[in-house]
Amino acid sequence: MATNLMNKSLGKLSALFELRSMLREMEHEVGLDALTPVEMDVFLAAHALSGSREEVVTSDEIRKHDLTAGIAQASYHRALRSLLSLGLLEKAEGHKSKHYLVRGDLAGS
Amino acid sequence: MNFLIIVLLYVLSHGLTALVVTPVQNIFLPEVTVFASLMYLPHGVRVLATWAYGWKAIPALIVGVSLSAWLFSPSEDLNFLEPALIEGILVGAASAFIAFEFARFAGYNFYFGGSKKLRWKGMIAVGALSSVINSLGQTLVYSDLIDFEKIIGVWAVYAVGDLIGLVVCMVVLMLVFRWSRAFTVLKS
Repeated sequence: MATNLMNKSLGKLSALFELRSMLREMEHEVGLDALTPVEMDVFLAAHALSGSREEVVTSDEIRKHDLTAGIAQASYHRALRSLLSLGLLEKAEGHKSKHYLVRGDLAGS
Repeated sequence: MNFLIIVLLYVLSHGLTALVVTPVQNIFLPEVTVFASLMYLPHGVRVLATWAYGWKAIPALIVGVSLSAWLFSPSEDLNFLEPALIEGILVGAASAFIAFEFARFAGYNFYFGGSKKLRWKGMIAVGALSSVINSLGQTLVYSDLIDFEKIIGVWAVYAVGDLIGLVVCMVVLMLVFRWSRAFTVLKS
């Protein structure tokens, strides 16, 4: 009896979970995916360092910024990767790896 | 419980359409508003409820449509014994189920828990098919009241209104889930 009730409740919740996951995918595909707080901190740090002249910033510079200093190493790298995949940071041309350019159009907004 | 949730959501979305969407639309497009809303939110409830509960959503939708008609239509226009009204209610409540069944017969069991996982674009596609079925059915039911020359226009407005209603419902739900995530992050 109790198992039946639990299965029923789980069934209802699964429909809600699946709807949520479907709409999360929609949010992502229409480009409305929100940044996590860590991603936001890394992006803001990179933006602050790049300044209005849109200078190239290095991973180490971003890492040492006040906003990102408290973030665990693995989380920091995940956030950096995510920002690159979202196109908010771009690998700078003519530089070795770990040099990034903050997307000018977004940095200015 | 699910039954009540579907009824309440249907009545709420119908109320929003009748009291907010339609009056605003009437300001800009009075000639269209006479016979249909260009953003019929209850269609979203029909499609999502049928996706989650299959045929079991139909009785709840019938009650939701009837209750909405009773609450939001002028009483002199309403006669629940009129065959056209009963047929219209049945067509509206069953349209999403018919669309999901069409998909199932074509080998795509898109119901929740079915063999194919439905993605958001698929939900909109099934919703579009459902809106075509519904508008076709409603146009046939009310064909005596609609001029023959206008029938395609009326049919198209019904279909577009249903589809926009579904998309808006999904976008609103998406934003609600998004805000709930942001709220959870803020709380933690």
